[in-house]
Amino acid sequence: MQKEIILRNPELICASGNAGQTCTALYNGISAVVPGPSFGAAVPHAPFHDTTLRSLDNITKALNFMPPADQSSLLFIYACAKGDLSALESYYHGNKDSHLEDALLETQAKRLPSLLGIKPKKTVVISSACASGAVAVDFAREQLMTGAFSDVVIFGYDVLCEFVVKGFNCLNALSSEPAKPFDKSRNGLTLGDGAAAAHLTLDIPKNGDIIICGCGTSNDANHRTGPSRTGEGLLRAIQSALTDSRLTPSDIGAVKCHGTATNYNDAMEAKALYSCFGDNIPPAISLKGAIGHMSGAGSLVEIILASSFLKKGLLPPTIGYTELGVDEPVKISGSVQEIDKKPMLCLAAGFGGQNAAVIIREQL
Amino acid sequence: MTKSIYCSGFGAIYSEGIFSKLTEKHWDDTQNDPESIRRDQVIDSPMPTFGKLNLPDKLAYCVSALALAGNQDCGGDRSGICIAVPYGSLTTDMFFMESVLCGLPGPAYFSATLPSSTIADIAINNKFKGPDRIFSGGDTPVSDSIQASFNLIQADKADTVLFLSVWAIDLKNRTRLSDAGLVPNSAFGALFSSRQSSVSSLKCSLDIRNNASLSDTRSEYDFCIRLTDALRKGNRAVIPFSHDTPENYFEIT
Amino acid sequence: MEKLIEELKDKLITSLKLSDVTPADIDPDAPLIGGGLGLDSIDTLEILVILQKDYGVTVPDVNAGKKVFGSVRTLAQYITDNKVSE
Repeated sequence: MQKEIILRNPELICASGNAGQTCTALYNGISAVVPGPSFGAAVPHAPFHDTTLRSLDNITKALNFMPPADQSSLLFIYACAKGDLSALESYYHGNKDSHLEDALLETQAKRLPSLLGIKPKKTVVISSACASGAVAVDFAREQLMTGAFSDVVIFGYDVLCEFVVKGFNCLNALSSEPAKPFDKSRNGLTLGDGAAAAHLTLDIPKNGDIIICGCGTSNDANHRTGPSRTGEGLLRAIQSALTDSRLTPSDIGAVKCHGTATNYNDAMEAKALYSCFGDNIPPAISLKGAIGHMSGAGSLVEIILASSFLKKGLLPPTIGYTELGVDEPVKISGSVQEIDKKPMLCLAAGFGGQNAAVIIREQL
Repeated sequence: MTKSIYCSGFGAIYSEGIFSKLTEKHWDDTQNDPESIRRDQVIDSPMPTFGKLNLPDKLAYCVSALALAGNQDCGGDRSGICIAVPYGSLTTDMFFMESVLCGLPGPAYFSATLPSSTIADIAINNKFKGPDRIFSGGDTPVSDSIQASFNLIQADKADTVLFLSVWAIDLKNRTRLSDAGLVPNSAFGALFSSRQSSVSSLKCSLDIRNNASLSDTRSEYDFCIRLTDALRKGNRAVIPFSHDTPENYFEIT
Repeated sequence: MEKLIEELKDKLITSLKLSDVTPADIDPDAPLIGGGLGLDSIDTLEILVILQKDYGVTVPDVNAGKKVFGSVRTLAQYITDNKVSE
């Protein structure tokens, strides 16, 4: 049997809790979005139950990640948009003992391996805005397929803080109500806390293993923060992932959207999906109305959750959604949807025109 | 089958001056740091948006203009960017925090507070719509970025990749950091392609035998300078990534 | 009004960090956004900051801002109409 890229021991923590708790909440239509204020902004948000988890030391302990047994050829990837900004904020709020260097992802990446219980041969930091986790999966797949490394651990971490909340707020990007992905009355993001860790390796799959079939990335080359209006960049990422997986659109059984609930993103994403699937867009979901937009870490958290949905053969409802607000027939639903045990497409997009598509399947 | 890879352009902006395949300029007497680079030193036509670029984005944009100079047939779906930006957007993050403390958070600053913002204008203005890799730290982001450039071409995900490496912290902000270990403001770039677009394109290869990282940001900066020297000369050369790992090298063949 | 227009031109150049642009280059009636100055939606938000900081003026509905941001002249008119008198 052929070797595949297998996702092992994924762990995540978001506003709804760990993977199991989050799935339970999602299937029951329970949102983790709570009213604000959030760092001075009058907007709802999706914080960790325990906000002391907003530290690399605490979150890595809480994740309970099982490191790979064999670490002789291990690559570690830290994937995030902004990571831990506490030292930056602390410095600017008058604590001159804070070291600004601690706000560098590079500095955080040096501390993380021992916090996660790993001794990698090499550490890489990938920061592609809100697509970071997905791009890291693409990069990991390349490294494993070429044999550069035999194991990869990816860790993602992006949390609510003054910098991020006030930043998105001054871009007018935050909704005053919980986010409503693809909905007619959607009007912006709801931010959330998120962290995840996963082990990827090239091995002969066992039944039930989640396999990374292929990935694709692209750049919209349109605007610093807004996506291309036509969705052509995301479409190319999807097509690249299909090619990488040796699949066609009809092989895809479900779509985990990026679905940020901004006017432009969801409209763009719908166009990309329609261009790819035509009138046969598979059942689709966005998680951001339930657990918030977790920036770069979010794309890894959501891939892990997608793998759980795939194993169950059911997509949870898209919380926050009631009425379709895009022109294309995207199969978003406010109810649970059954999905075929076919490969699943996971999408992510980010500032700087970043688009990423990751296709996963379950070994049956 | 392994594709041949060619370098059809390069750029370097650092203490010694401003270099590309086509030009060589030295700093004016009034310029004491690459931070002061002017639009007219790298780009011929007026560019109203130039002044908006924060330092990491500005240096990346300038060095990309140098590397792309004289190369018409790139851009599009099959052109990507791989960038090493070890300091991320920290310098812009600092300006954004100042604006937050003033009570009026600055949208322009915030939109530039991501390492991926550094390549946004390059992608937009040159229509580079292919895959990107942004290495914002790690053990060897420069080596990772060059490897990623080659890998994307070998894996047929791109035909052309613009490799960039940028170290950028505004002088004003350096005083707030422990300046001792900071690499000087600088940017380096090279345009790699599976096509030999002109006779002056240099055939290159990479040999990475030792995946463990035995490098640091200062030695990666030194590598970029040695790479620039070699590309300027255009002759056959073997450029190890660091003295500790001579088995990992970039070669002009 | 003309004085305010000239003042706004200077502020736009400084605050938006426009290069290779002088006040004389800015046509007060030309479209601000999407025109020759290369201004985009982020610059719109920056202009909102200028309005608030320097003139004490807010724009309650950003989408209605098309009238406000139509040109330097419409911007000046909006400030004149809405500025809190001292």
